[in-house]
Parts: sequence; structure tokens; C-alpha cells
Amino acid sequence: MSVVAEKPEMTESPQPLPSPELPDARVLEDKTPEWMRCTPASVIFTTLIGLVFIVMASRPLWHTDLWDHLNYGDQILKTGVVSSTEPLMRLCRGVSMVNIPWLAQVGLAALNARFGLTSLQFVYALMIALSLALVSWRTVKMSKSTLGGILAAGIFFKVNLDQLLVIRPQLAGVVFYCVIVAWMLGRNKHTRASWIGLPILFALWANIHGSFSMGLLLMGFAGIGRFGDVLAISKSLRVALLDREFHRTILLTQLCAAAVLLNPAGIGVYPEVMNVAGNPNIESMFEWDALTLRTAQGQSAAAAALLACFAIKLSPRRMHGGEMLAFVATGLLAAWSARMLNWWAPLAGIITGTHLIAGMRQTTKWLQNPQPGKGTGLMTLVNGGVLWILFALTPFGIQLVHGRVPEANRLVSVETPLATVAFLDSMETIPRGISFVPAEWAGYVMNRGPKSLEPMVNLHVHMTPEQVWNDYIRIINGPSDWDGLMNEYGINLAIIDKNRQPALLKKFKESTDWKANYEDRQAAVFVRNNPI
Amino acid sequence: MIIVRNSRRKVSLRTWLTVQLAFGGAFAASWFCVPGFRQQEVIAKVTHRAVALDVNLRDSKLATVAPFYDDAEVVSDDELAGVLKKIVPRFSRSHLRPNLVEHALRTWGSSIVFRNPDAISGPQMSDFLTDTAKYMDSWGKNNSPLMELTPDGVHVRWGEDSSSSVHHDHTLAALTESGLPLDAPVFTTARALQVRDVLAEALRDFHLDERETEWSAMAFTLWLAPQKSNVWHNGEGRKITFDMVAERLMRNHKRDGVCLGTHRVYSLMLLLRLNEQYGGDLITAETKTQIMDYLKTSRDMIVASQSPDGSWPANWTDGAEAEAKADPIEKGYKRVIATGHHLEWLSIAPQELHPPREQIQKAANWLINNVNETPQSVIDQNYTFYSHVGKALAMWRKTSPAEFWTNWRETHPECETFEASAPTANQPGPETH
Repeated sequence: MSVVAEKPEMTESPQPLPSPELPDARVLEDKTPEWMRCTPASVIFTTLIGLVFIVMASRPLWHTDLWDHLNYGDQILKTGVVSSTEPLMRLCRGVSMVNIPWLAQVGLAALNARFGLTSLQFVYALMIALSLALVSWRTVKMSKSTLGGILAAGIFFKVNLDQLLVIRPQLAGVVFYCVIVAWMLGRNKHTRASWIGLPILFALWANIHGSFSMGLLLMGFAGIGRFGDVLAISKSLRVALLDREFHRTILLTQLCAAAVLLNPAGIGVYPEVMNVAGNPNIESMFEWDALTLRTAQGQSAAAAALLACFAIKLSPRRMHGGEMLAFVATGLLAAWSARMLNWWAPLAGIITGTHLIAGMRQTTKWLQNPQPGKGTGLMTLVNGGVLWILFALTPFGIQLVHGRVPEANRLVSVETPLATVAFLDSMETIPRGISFVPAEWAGYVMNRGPKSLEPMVNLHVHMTPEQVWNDYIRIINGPSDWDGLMNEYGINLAIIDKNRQPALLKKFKESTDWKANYEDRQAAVFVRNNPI
Repeated sequence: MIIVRNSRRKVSLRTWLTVQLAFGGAFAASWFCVPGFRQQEVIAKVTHRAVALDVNLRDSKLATVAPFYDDAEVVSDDELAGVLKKIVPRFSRSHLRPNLVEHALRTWGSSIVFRNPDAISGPQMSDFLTDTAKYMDSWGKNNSPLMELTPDGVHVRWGEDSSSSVHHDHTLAALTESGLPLDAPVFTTARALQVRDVLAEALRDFHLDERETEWSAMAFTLWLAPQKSNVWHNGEGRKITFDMVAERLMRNHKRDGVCLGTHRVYSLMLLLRLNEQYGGDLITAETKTQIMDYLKTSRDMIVASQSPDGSWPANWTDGAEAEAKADPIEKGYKRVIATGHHLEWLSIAPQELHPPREQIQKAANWLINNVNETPQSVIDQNYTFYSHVGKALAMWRKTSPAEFWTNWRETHPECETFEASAPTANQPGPETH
């Protein structure tokens, strides 16, 4: 018998098994449809714009215009009617109202009712992101440079930042306007998509914001600019007049102008646009003031204008007539009223981005011979992933995915009078008659406060009778006849903004006719001892 | 070099025409789809003119509100005649203040003809207000006319200036109360218009939030109630209803408003009466209740605030605390204002809104004594206030000063003989009214 010892296990290191060879990814066929493929540059834009989106979607909602729009939206949802007279403010009763942004108001109110304030933050950020995306896209297309696109979006964002901080229907107007800017600066202006899409866009726009007029103006500039370009080259009026693109632009503009009529006020929407801008009450709104170098936005605009001039001078590209007209005209409008920066900033961004890159390309080697980025399905996937992450990080995303709703004080700006409204809600009865409430707070107080409280004015100042608005402006400065004005309007309750109305606060405190029922760091609530 | 890319296909004529048709058709359809009033508003905004008036004034008839009571215990014939004699309008024709004429006109009416040539008769008074030539005779050619021609009609100049009317729509209210028809002529410097145009302009330029709405409210009610028009749009396109007018009148503190807040009480009472007279559709039931509550509160205040001598103080809205809170240097004429005006609205008010009759009698007595004791020169200086006294007392006899005076002088031919000659100047009183 023999014992055969088992062969000890090999102690030497095992030889790696030959792994199966991976196929060369480069030879795989990208089955993603052509139209869905994204370029690597798009991922850069998705990420950068996404960061802006996240920041904006997490910002507390600005306390002014939003609440008035929500109130009008709620009222339309409740009654099912877009009122032809002012429906909410007692002192504005009977005042004719062409409520252009009714659709935006209904949308905001419906979203708020269904999902709460986080959805409004989301929509707000989305509008800004879409504007940035449109500006970048057009610039990249024109300059064939990612850097140009980033530059354009950056300029647009910086110059227009003050206007972008407030959530209001105007933001949707800015998006639509950027579409028209992109259309105007593009080469193929009269595709089938333009003939169908633009009239639809204008029909929608006319129900969302009065800035559709700026869109039509831009289209007019495109037509005039084209006529001027052809005239300059051909030196023949006949050739210019017979130019086909000129004709098509005129016809498309006409169709868009007709599409605007599809709104509840019909043709009344046109004079209303001018009516709002020319309303005397608007003069007291600082955001409608002329642009000045004393403000940050004025400095940004001046810097952007200088940079644009420098870029145009440096650039071998020539500006088309329409481009130049739009740039100058909207610039003048912005100088006239800071709020018009909305319509200059996209043009300033795209023109500067495009021309600066064109100029730099002459001297900078790595910018020369730009190769168009190749779209791939992988980049589409990456973009999708980034978008999902961005969505999931927003308060709205967190609310939808995890069911966590942030506390109210994180959703609204610190200027929102939360505690004051909580006090008003706790009052057993609200004194009858009109109440004095700062216009900036009126919307919030009406939305969240006692329904019987009727503020003197809200921020729809163009709806407010001139005399009422003038009296309101007088009162907030604490004039000597402040109590006479309080009597004049039969005011029995007053909410004072302690920071902005110190003189009026002093008058109330000194008066024996009024008693302070509530006071915090932000506001004081006074009630008349013997109500009128 | 600008590269101009030209499209290959030219735009066909058919496409051109189709788009023009669609474009024009869309605007035409939109125009016809909006209501008539909106069309006017669009026109107004585009042309920067006032919105056209949407009330038909062609066949408007003037409403009248008759007083309810004929109470000789409040004022006897002799007492009334004595008071009226003191307010016969004997103004100097030079620099004649429209405010004086308006008060005299609303008190005496546009038809009365005084036998004494020093007195200004009704037709002369209405001519002075409506005929620029007559007005210029008094004020000189360098003065701005009272009736100013506007692109849309005629505007009555008003303001602090003594050559103008003192209150907005006070002239219109005076012409209305005097019984002048809408087709009575109004002569401006350029062309002849009618009182109808003054009313139309007033309806257009009426603003609900202006300081004084009492006279506008009164004139509008008197003209629009008979045709049952309870809504119109002003020149800015704002829809105005009598409910809104009433709410505006009641909005302020009761002590505010011209003549110590008494005019708004009168205007509200008038609105209530005309609402009942013309079917009750002028205001809603809710507004009617609010007005009644307002008037009842006013009644309670005058019940509580009446002074022992029968007069009502300037601070009548303080009610029972009026005496304690009275201004120690209160001018005497203020009591004439308060007492005269309160008696005026009470004469057209139902009894449920009255203080006890003794209080009314005491008030009337105080006024009669005051008029009797006050020198003519002082009354002339305060004519506007005293004219209300005369009218109020006449109304308590269910008559008008003109009607009473015309009858009275048949039996008292000497009644228009005055001791003093007519005042040579028209000095404004201590307070405009």
C-alpha cells in the first residue's frame, strides 16, 4: 500500500485568466436618433446653466409682484372670467382692465394651488435657464464657439440680473423675446417651423405679457434691416423693394401681429401696451426710472455697451441692418427706462459674444478653424443625467421625490411680512373700510391674510386711479396732513413698514387717535381708536 | 462685405393677398367682437382723447325732489319772508363772483324776476353763468372765461380764484337745481353750446376719488334718475355707478367735506329719494341700507350735539361730546352753516331720519333769530351760507323761495324795498363754500 501524499497546492501566484476582449466602443454604431444627439459642448452649457438654475430655483420668492398676480389668477380660477374691470381693489372698482398676463396668472395660481410655492420657484428658475440657453445657443451657432456662448449668456445674465430677480409674467416674455432674437439673428428665418411656430408663439405671448410688442418691434427691425442691407448693396430701391426675404419678413410679422388678437381683450391689447408704459403712476416706480450709472445695473449695462462696441470694432464680421437697429433702439429704450434692459440684454450678450470671438479668432490660434462638435448619444445620456440631478436638487424636486416641503420662511423673501399677517389672522375682527398697507405687501396680505382686509393699493399701479396713487405716495412719506388723508379714505387699520416709512411710523406713534396693536422688527399695525 | 442671401422662391401675389386678407380680416373681426364701449376706449387711447360718453342725454328730463313738510311751527310766513328778504341777491355787477351767483341761483331759481332793479333776477343770473359775454362784462376781457371750450365740449373753470367757480361741478349743480333745461344755451368765446354739453363734460371728467364729489353726485342724480341710467363711463373709461358714488360720499370721516360735511348728507338723501321716485334701480338694496345707516348715524349725531340755543355746532359729528370738544374760538358763521344745511336735508328726509320735531323747531328759531339780528352787511359777506338758510326754511313750508316770494310780494308790494343800497363790492366771506 502506498501512501500517496496529495500534491500540495501550488503556492506560486496564479496566472491571470485571459479576460474576454471588450469590443472597441469606437466601432459601435450610435443608435440614438440624429436629432437627439448632443455635443460635448452642450454638456458644458447644461452644467453651467444648470448651476444658475439650481441657485435660482432655491432662491426665496421675491415678495412684490408675485402675490398680486397670484391674487388675480385665483380670482380668474374662481370666477372663470377674465374681468374687464379691476376685480380686487375697492378703490379701483370700475377701472377698465385689459389683463394681458391673465394666462400667466392662472398658470401661477394653478401651480401654487396644486404644488405650492416650490413649483413657482421651479418655474421661475426654468424661465431664466431657458433664456440663458437660447442666448447661448444662438451665439454658439453664430460664433461656432462654446466660449462665445458662455460669454453671451454671462453678459445677458449680469446685465439683466436686477430684472431677473423678481418672479413675474415678464420672465416668460423674456423667454419668448429670446426666441425672437434667436430667430432674427439666424439665417433661415422663413422655415415652415417659423411660419407655424411664430404666430402660435405670439398668440400665447399676448396672453402672458405685454412684451409681445417688443417681439413685433424686433421683427419689424428684421424687415427694415433686410431692406436696408439690400438697398446698401444693390444701390437700387427697386431691388430692395422686390427682395423676397423682405417680403416674407413683412408677411410673417403681419401674421404674428394678427395672432396677437387671440386674447380676451382682442384689439384692445395694442393700445393697452402703450397705456401701461405711459401711465403717470408708473413714474413713481423706481424700476421704470431712466438707467443711471449710479446703480449696479447701470454700471453693468455701461460696461456691456463698451465691451460690445469694442467687440464690434475688433470683429471682421459685419452687422446686419436689423441687428444694428435692434441693438441701438433697445439700448436707447433701456437708457430711457431701466426695465427695458430686458430687451437689450439678450442682444448685447449675443452680439458681444459673437463679435468678440470673431475678433479674437484673428489673433488667437486655438480659436481658429473651429470644428463643429459631433453629437453623440452618450452626451445625450450625460445631459439627461445632469438634468435629473439638477431637478432632484431643487426644492420642488425634493418635494416631489421625497415629499419634503421647506418651511414658509425659506420659500419667501425676508421682506415678506409673515409675522404681521399671522397677527392679522389672529385678530377677531378687522376694522371696516379701506386699510393702509404698503403696496409691496398688499398682494401677500390679500393672499394670506384675512379676506375682509382691503388694502388701499397694490402694485398694479397702472390700474390705480391717479388721485389714489398720489395720495398713497404722499402718505408713505408721513406728510403733515397724513391724518387728513387717512380720514379721506376712511382708513381704520394701517400697517407700516418700519424700515421704509419711518416718518409715517413716527406720526402714528405720536397720534392719540391710533393705537399700535402689533409691532415687530419689520412692521407695526395701528388701529384707529374710534373707527370711522 | 455683407452677404445677402436671397431666397429662391419669390412670394406669389396670391400669398400676398391671402396674408393681407387674413391680417385685415383678423383686425376687423377683432374690432367687431369687442363691445361698443371697448371700441370707444380703444379709439380714445389711440387718439389720446377722452372716452366718448355712453349716456344718452338727448331726451333727459330734470328730476325734482319735493320737500315733505309744510310746518308753520318751524317757520311762519312772516319769518320766512323776513329771512328771504335778507338774501335777495343784490350784488355789485362788477367782478361778480360766480360762487355768489350760483348760490343765489340755486336758491331763487332761474325764473324769478325781482321788481327791484338792484336785485339780480333768475334769468340774469343764469345768463351770467352761461353766457361768456355777460361774464366778461363783469370781469373784463382779459379774464379767462368761466365756460372754457374743450375739444369735447365745455368745461367750467373752477378753483380758488374768485373769478371762477369754487367747487367742481358746483356751477352745473346750481344750474340744475335752478331748473334750467339741458337745451339752454351756453355761449363760449368760440361757439354756442348747451347745458347738455356742460353735463356731458362733467360726466366725462368726473373722478370718483376727487376731494369734492357732492355737487357732481347731486347733478348727475337729478339728470340721470328720470331716464333710469345708473351707470356710465367717465373719460378715462372707468365705469361709474351710483352705488360707487354713494360709497364715495360715505367713505370719509363724517366731519370731512364741504360745509362741515353736510353737503354729502344732502346728496345722499337726494339719491335715496330719487331712487324711490324712479323705481328703485338707481342703487342696490345693499347701498340703500348703507345710506340709511349713514343718515341714521348723522341724525343721532345731530340729536346729541344740538346746543341749548337750538343751533348745531361745527363739530356736530362729535355727537354728545360736541360741547366738550368744541373749538373755543369757533366762528359764529359755522353754526349758520351747520344748522342751515342740516335743516335743508331734513326737509326732504322721511320722519324716521328726523330728530324730534322740537329740535327742528329750535334749530329753525335759532336761524331766524340769527338772520334777524345779523346786519345785512354781514349777511352779504356770508351770502353763500345764508342762502342755504333761506332755502331750507322755504322747504320746510313745502315751497321754494321763488314761489313763496312771488306770492308774498302780491300782498306785500313793499317787500323789495331795501334800506341800504346794493353792495358795491363782492368781498369774499370768511370761508368759501
